[in-house]
Amino acid sequence: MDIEELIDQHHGTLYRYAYRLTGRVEDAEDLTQQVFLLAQQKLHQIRDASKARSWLFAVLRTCFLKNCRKRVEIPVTGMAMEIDDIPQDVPGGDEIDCERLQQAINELPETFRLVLLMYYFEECSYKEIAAHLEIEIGTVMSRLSRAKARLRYQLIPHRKTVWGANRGLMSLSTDETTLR
Amino acid sequence: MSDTTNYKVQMDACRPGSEDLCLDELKDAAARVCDYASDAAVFQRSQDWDKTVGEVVRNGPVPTGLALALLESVRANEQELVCRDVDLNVATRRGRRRYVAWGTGLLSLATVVGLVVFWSWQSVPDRHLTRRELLASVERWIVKPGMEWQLLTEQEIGRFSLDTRVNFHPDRWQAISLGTGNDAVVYSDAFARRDSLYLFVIEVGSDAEIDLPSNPPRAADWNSRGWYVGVWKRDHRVYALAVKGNGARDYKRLLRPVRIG
Repeated sequence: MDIEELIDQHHGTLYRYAYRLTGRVEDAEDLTQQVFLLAQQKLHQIRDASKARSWLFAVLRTCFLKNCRKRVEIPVTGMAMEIDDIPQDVPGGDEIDCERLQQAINELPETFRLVLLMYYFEECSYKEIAAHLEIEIGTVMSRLSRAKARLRYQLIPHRKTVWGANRGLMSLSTDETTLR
Repeated sequence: MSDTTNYKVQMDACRPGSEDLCLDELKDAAARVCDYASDAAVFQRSQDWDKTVGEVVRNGPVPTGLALALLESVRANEQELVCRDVDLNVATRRGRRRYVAWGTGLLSLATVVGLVVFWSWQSVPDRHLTRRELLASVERWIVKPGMEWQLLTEQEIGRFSLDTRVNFHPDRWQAISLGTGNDAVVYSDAFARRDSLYLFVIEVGSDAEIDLPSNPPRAADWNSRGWYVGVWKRDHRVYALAVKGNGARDYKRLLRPVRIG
């Protein structure tokens, strides 16, 4: 497998993942390029072509986190919708506002964003996420649940609900909670 | 985390269309889904939602010409890498040549230094042993004599031969260090009182420039703490006769008369 083949087969997926992570076209392009340049140097590590995609994802995550470390993580505040508040008539794909989706993702702290996208984009299990990021399963579950609740809140029409100070959600409140 | 929150968090951890709910860590959620129809409905809605979101997240426009731009950047990078490799190889070859030159230089230097050291070591007795130094060394030894006496053998007496002009009958000997780098021994006389008469024999080389008489001096050169010492040189050896007793008379008694004619 050569680098041109890799680009041909994976550039779209990788760019989309990069865009979801960075939230900006320019940053996504830079990140994608960074991944392929690294891949070019470490191509010998890919022995099994079927694993190239997951290998590229891993490189992408590493580059993303490396870039993130240069920035100060700003705590993000926001509202959330718990799982049992999902309405019967769940919006379909074409009803989801893509810009709003990306905005919601962007507003998540990077560590939450990464867990969420590993779940949605890479379709990793919580165990795989924990293993790749070297964090506890409980941490993965907690971050995932909070990030998803936030996304639901942003994308699903609802009555206003927020995370309570100590447990779950509180209805009809304008309070905000910090995701950390 | 309460049980209620716990099972909800677990539901959120399940991937749509997967068997995740069967996993051990998610057993609370599995039990709720199994036991309560309302929770099963919540779980189903959540799974539907996640499926939809996943599909949207995984899709999206890709900038036109991205693949081409990426190809160009990797090609440019490849050329840069090749150039860097070439530079590196040249640098490495230069480096190797430099190492070889340095190595050869260092080896030569080491050889020269080695030869100088060897030559110096070889010449130490000739250059460094002075009369004063010799006497000082003998005095140091006499004040604090070594105790490693050995019975005399023909072999040893052959190497550090005695001077027949001295009336000395050795029975023991020991190798000593005078701190001058010279090989030296000291003999103890068999008939004298213990630790009262010694003859030092020091190898110095035939061309050693030491200002010493070639015959045993008739009078002691040095006396201290009751010891009288006379030193002389014969061939490539220096001798020092040390006697403790009744002054110059005992010393003189040890010298054989000089034959005239």
